Amino acid sequence: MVRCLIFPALAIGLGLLGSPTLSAETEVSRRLFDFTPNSSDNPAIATIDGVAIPVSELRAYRAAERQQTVPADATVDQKRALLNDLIDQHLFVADAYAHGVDRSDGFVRQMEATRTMMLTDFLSAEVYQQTGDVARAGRDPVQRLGEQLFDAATIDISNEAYAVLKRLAEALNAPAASFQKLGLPASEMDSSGRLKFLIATIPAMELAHYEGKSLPLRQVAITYAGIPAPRPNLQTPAGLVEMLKPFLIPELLASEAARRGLAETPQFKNKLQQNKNALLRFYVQDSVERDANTRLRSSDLESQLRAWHDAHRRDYLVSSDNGTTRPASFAEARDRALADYSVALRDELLAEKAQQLRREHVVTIDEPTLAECHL
Amino acid sequence: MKTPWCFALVALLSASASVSHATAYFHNTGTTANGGGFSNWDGSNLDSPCSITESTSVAYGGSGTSIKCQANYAGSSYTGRYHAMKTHNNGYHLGETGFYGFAFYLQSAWDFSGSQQYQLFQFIANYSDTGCDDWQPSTMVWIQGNQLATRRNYGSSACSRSTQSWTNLASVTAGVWHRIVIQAHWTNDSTGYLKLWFDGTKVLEKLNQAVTINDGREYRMDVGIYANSWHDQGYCTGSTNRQIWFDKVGVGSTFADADPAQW
Repeated sequence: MVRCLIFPALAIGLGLLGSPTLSAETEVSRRLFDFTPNSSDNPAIATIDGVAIPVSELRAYRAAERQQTVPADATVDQKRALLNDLIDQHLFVADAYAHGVDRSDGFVRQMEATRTMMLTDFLSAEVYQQTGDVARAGRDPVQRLGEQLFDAATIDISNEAYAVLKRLAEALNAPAASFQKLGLPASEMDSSGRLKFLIATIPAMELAHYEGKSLPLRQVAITYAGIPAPRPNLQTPAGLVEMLKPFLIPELLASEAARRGLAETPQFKNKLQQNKNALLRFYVQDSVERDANTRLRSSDLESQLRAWHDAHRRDYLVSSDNGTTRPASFAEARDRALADYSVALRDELLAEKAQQLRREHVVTIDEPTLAECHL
Repeated sequence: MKTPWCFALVALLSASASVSHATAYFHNTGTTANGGGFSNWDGSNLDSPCSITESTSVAYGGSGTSIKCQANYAGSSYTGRYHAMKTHNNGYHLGETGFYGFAFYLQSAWDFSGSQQYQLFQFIANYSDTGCDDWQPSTMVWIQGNQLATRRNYGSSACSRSTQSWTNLASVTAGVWHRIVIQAHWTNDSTGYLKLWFDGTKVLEKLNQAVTINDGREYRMDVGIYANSWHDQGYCTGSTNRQIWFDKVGVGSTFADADPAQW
């Protein structure tokens, strides 16, 4: 049920279903690849600041990313090299936690959205299992459930915010000339300029409240503005309802999943934690890559690339007319040199980061377990 | 099912091609809008049993949206294909060097049984003027079982070509975000190369070999799900419903320009 009420425009953020945190002391809370508990059958092969990395994590790491380079019957030295690479990945995650990345606003929002997606995903799996073959069902049962939940939900719409949205929609769909009346300079009359002008005028208001959560007007307005013309008609309640559905149905499905207890299952909790750690790992990789890109934008890039090309001449060849190859000039190889240099920079900075973290954390390797373990 | 007129979170407010030595050519933050340019797709490669929607609850990179691609097996009486992919016209052409990246998330209940292929990414060009196969894909990235694979497609012409697949590159986990970056130097001689990173680890490096056909036409880049085995083999093994989310698609001249979370 969608209701239009007059309620104060409050800058309320999206509500949470509950923060998906696990105790830092949970033995699997830092895992990236495997969540088999530590045990005598799954002993620790290394520790980082006392947190164990068991053999199962090493096996799963090899299977996930290193099966091409590390054989199953690896030597001790090969296993040690693999383990050290895994330790580096865990150090990246540990560093992210240590610097509070997981508590940063952006990352918290990212995890909220990921949790919502996972809840709808888990609910979908349950629904498809119950309803059977989607092809024979005729209509997607999850889509049908989402529509049912939307129809049953009590959704309060702010009349004030809706009025703003309608005016925005009218302006967006108006001829460009009308923007001149609003004072927009002619130099900014392209679609991007008009869009920025309109977005800047959107007040901080909540468009809808539902199940203890709220939907900001700005989020809906920006999304609406991004739809290519012809845009949906928001001047009617029916049009507004259709606009709201894609925003609210996933949230309603997530709530339904939580009501069914799916968020409390070990499978969900572990998967959520795995996503969290994966995203933190990517965060650290990304910060290093940003540093690399900064170097690539320095004023002496050309000299760096020439030095790289000189040192790797044998890697840069071009085909001759007679079917042979010859060394490429710098001009001929520049694009390739830039590409390869960007990768080398990234790898160098990641290695430096890992070495720095090794100095800051206590890392131990259980050599007997390493020698005995099978990948 | 046709793509609904879903809406797009506009990246126009902040995204523009970085004019620098490191150049980003295309960045999409999980939106489905067409219209071309730096952030929008050029179109969709969508077949009737499939769908592409914009999921506003997903935010791999915190943008608030991602692209949900779904393929539903339509039974043996349906003989068409199963594409649910967004398309970007300027993928690559012969002689270029570039990086191509995207993030993806397999539904948590993804059925890894069997050996059928599910494409995540492909380059494809129209060779209908050659008298040979019309739409010919070159490099593709797919999942087979739980294994990641890719390939090269090379030869003197569209009518004289070979493919070579590299399989078991990595094990893909369902219900977890992953990301892929490809680096390629597109030639049809021994100066070409193809490299692939999975979750930041390089899992493929093939140097000094031809990686595309000796033809200068532009290859389009497709991102999404293509259940090619359902069509090619005429049946579906395991789950008839396949969902994959995509986000942070990038094309650029350096690793960072294509790595999804860089922007």
